[in-house]
Amino acid sequence: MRLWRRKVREEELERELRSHLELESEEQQDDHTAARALGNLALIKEQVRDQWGFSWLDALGRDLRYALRSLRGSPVFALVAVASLGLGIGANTAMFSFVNALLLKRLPVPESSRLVTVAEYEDGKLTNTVFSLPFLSQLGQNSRLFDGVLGRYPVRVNLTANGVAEPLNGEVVTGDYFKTLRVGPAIGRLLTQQDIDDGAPVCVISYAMWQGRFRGDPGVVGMKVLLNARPYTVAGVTQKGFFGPQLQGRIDMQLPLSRMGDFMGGFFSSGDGTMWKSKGFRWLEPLARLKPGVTSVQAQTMIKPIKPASKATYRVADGSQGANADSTYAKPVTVLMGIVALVLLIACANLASLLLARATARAREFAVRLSLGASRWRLVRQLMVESLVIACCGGLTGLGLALWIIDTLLAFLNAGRSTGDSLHAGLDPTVIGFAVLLSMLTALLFGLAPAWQSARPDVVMELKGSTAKAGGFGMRRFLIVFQIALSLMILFAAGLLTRTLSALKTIDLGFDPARVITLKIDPTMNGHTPEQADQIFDRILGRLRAQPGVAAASLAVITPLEGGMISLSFEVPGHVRKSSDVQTNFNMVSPGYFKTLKQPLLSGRDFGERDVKKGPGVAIVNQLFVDQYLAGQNPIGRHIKAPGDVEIVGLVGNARYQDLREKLWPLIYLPAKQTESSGYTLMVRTGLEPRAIMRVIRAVDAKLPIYDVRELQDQIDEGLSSERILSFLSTLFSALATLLCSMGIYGLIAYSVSRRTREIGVRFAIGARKMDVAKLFLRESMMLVLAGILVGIPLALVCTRVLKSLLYGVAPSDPFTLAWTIAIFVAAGLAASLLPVLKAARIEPLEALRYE
Amino acid sequence: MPDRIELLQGTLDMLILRTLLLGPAHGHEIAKHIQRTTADLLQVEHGSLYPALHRLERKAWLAAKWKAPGKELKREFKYYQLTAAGRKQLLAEESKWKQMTGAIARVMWPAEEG
Repeated sequence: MRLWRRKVREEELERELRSHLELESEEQQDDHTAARALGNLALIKEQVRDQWGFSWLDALGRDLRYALRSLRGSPVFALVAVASLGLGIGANTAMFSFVNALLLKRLPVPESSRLVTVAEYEDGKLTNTVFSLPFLSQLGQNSRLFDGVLGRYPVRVNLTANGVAEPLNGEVVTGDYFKTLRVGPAIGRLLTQQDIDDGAPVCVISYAMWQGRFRGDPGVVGMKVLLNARPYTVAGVTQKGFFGPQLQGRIDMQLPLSRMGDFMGGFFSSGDGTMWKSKGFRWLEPLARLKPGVTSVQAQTMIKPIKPASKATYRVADGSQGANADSTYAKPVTVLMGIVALVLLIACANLASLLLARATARAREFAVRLSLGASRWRLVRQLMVESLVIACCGGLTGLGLALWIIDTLLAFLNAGRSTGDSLHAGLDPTVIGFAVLLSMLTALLFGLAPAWQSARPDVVMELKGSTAKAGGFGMRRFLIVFQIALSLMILFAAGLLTRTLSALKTIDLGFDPARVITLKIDPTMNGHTPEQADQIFDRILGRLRAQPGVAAASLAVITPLEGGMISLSFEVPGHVRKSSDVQTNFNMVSPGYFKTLKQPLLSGRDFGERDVKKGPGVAIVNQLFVDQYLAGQNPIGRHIKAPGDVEIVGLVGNARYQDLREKLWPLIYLPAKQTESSGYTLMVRTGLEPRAIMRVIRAVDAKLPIYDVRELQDQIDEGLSSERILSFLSTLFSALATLLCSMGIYGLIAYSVSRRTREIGVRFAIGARKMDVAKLFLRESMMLVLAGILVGIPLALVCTRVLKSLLYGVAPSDPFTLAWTIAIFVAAGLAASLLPVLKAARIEPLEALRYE
Repeated sequence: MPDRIELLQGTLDMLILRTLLLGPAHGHEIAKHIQRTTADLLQVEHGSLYPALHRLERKAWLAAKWKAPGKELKREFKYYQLTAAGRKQLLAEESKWKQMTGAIARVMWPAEEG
């Protein structure tokens, strides 16, 4: 309808103006004078069209069609533009989805901004992030500060329902848990203080689990299930989208705190079964809801320690991301976000450069249009529409690419993680909005300058066909220097991160992780008592040691570099504690632990069969312990309190314990049989497949749940996952950045050669050698690289300071890496200018002089 | 020929409306009328005449009709005609213009005011 009317209008306008012209020429009796009187017909039409009102929409349509046509006309340019922009936007969107998931997202509960975590400090040092139940109850009773305080402890649960067993992640929780979070039931009821007090065998499951495992059956409320072989009743289902008070990972079940013995066994359930509520047992992760109007600062000054003599102070921090916000990847992700943002800037600079070159090629077209009466605004608008089309195509490509990058990264990151702490990220509305905004912004970034430049051609010169003028050449040079400087930053950072990874990979572990398989087994999950569990472990170890192909087998509570640690109180007679004392940690291990890990026994003996509960208490310490507490004297035969009286019977070499990057710690090893611990990891040094080992275990007890089967080396590699990702991605992005730079240098030098073809001809004609001409352009490209490097180095040195906490074994200003980075750029600059320089050297003087 | 004076911004609309008060006319007639009346002092740029006509038409101050000028049946012209809204607009612009010229006069020639 509108189009049809539009056509009629156009015809009428044409008629109207023609009749005017006819009258005028009748009057003047001269067509030329008449035409001059009326003026530029095309321009008048354009101005009249502007008065028609809907013209902007119409013009946009025309600009769009025109932009598509002109892009189809130069498919290589379109492809390069969309691909480089797509890569840039894709990488940025993917990284932003992680930033969003790790740093921006909040718990899906009402007013999450009022949730806070509590941590205990002594002398300004963080001493505790977990607390005893009485401490949390006391906090919760302070109704002037808090609208509820919860405590929780994550547990593994073996769920048997309808005859099918399945492990899942659950948590034991305090009575105020749901009140604090303000989470309601989807069906049934949630846990109450009464359940905790009664020790009721009830559980609450997640909505997702109800819909999945129980197929949305409303009969799930009141259903009898087995949890770790004990009968429980499902009390209700939590509201949709709730997976525990943490953003990463997935908790599917809440259980009363008082039932913890069913899920943790051993150490925790020993004694009279009241350990969970004792003052000395700090184990609960807290989360509190501040009253409206109460600030964190007010709250933290009013929290008092439970023992009046204690010097402890407390800090209250933002808890809107949950009880144990995972900060492992926060910094790496931020750094990568910075890197991809730089890559996008480089891609934009490259595009701007390409568009400038294109604008130079189209300068005559624009000159013609300007002289025919097109307004500059009209030309700028049309070029901006072209940029927008490129940006939209790039944005769409980028979104697709982002999906792929996110999936790949998640698969990599979650490979070594259980569902309990798996990472989630994806394209939610925030992320998609970010991508759209980014696309628009890039269009402005790379499109505006070239558009402006090309809308101001020197009309007369262009129409005369002059090629002497260099449209936007200076700006392109500036862009190249800018690109090189940014790329240099990325490459330098990538170099530092890669050297960090190799330093960590070649670190001296103090043991040999090769060919060690680790498996987790917990007989108490099948309802066995700790004593029965001990016997089962003994039988398994016996069978394994008798198995051909098994060099050694043992148990440990903490496997090396798993990330866990145990810290207990101990005393060394004759040693007065100094503030310089390094924290001392523990491990509970079975005989054969050191042999399994090939950790050298320096003197004394390993634990043996006689080191059982009834026998005298013994311990093995490492070299650092001797250095710190025993002044380097022979430790064998010395007695310490850890926590009971033990005699040191062995001395072993230092080994990495919790984390590769940490300094070595003093360590006390206690025999597993003399402590109350459970949840052992079985470690086997063997050339056999894990399957063969699992068969041996199944032969002892077919029903034992075996989980987290892996090789120790893999576990160490997984511990390096953030370093590996950082190194890999930063190297990839720096390669991309360098490639974009090289493309830019190539384009610029090639342009410079074609622009100066006649000059080269003259030079040859008056006797210049090929080498002289080659040098001319090599110098030009090297000047650009040099300028880029000179700008880039200070920038890089400033920015890599941010990386400091991520680096290991290399300084943020490492001169060796810097030298490499510079060398790579010089090489890239030379390589990029090789083709155009060769072309320049091969120019025939005669042809060149005729060159137009 | 005397020096031509550029039309003041915004006065073209008023002149067109005033011209059409005499009766319907087409673009060429309007331009000629303004030029003739001012003894060629005011030169109407055709480049701005047509955009102005179409703008006034869109604001519904003018109505347009294609018709042949009397005897000559062969050729049709687009005749513009003042609408009721156009008349009102003319009155408004006229009084605004009078106020303005009066104000300018008071600044320029204060003595004559007495």
